[in-house]
Amino acid sequence: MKSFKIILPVTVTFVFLVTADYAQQGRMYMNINYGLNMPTGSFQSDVVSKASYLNWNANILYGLSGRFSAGLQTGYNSFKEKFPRALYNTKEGTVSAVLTNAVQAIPVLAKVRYNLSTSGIIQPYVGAGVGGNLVSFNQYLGEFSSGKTGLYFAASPEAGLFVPFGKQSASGITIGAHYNYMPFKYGDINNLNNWGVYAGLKFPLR
Amino acid sequence: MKTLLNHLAAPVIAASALLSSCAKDPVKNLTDEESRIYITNYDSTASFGSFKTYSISDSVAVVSDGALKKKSLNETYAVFIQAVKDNMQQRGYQLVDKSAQPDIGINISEVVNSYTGVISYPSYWGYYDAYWDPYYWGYGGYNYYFPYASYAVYSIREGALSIDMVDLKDAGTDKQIKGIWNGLIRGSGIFDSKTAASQVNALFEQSPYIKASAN
Repeated sequence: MKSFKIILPVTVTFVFLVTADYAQQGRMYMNINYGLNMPTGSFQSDVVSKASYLNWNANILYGLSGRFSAGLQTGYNSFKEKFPRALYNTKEGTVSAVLTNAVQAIPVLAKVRYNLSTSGIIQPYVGAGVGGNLVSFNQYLGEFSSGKTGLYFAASPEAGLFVPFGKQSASGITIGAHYNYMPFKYGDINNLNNWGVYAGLKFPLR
Repeated sequence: MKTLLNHLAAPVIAASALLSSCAKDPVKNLTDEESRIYITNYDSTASFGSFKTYSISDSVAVVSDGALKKKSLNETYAVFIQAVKDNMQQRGYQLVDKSAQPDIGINISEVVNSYTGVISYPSYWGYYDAYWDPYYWGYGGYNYYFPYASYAVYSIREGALSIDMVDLKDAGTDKQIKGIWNGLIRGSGIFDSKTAASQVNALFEQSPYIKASAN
């Protein structure tokens, strides 16, 4: 009796887990997130030192198996900082100016995500995206700008949590963090690497 | 240390339509004062301490699309001229009439382009004798020479104020009058009598080498 009672919950759980494992397979999901990003390294010391509150990302992922999904991700990142008037020695002479650096990026990444858990209140995942960034960098001296726009390599590992709305719900909240490798070459600038945190919604498309 | 791009010469490079539609203009909230840049160049071989007197034109040349349009004096121009006089006096130079053989001659020009054109040191200072005939300084037939005119190309669509100092004390060798200092103001709200003096002060503040010797 006792052993039967023990076996039953295990069996039920096992069936539930198996069901959940295959729950996402063959389904398409969309994630939309709002994010906060922070420059790192030389991006922070030489270009923009402040956090950006103007970021979003969205992806559509197709469940290849219960745990693996793959798809495409895009988004938008915007960094800006205005510095107090200062003197700069340039080739054109000594310039007194209010300097503003502005960086915008639109990533387009091939993305994979692995769900470490497919049931429970909190379901962690890890993922990675690889692709390209359309980057626009502008530096303003006063109202006068110069800069560069181009397509650059992008890579972005991430980790996060999915919190479903309900026990059987395929929709829920996602919270995560990612690191963005953004190589970029202009003058002395070699990269615009940054990390970010995001929160948003996940929901099935079909 | 901020990385500064070498870019004053480059035309504005437009971001892709997608990016520009996403991005708000990063500098649309600049005040007129923040929009302005003050650029100074000088002849590093000039000995500012060896000069004692100066004369300054009593009107401002308006150079439009590369040609001299007029010379005039209005309330705002008068403030610019007075501010230069005040700064020169503070630096130890004595104002004299142009007929009294001043060591330094100073001209102020308003530069206007009605198109997005390139104004370069070589083309603006190359035609300088059309704006400020050396005859004015008593050196008819002489040519100007600006040692810092080999670089610096600006794409100017808006108005700019240019103040030039020329060495009259050493004019005569090679029939050349050498430019020794240029202060250039670009941006919004330049021609405002309320801010004109502070703009000239900014040019002089970043030019500490403009100083007569004490004796």
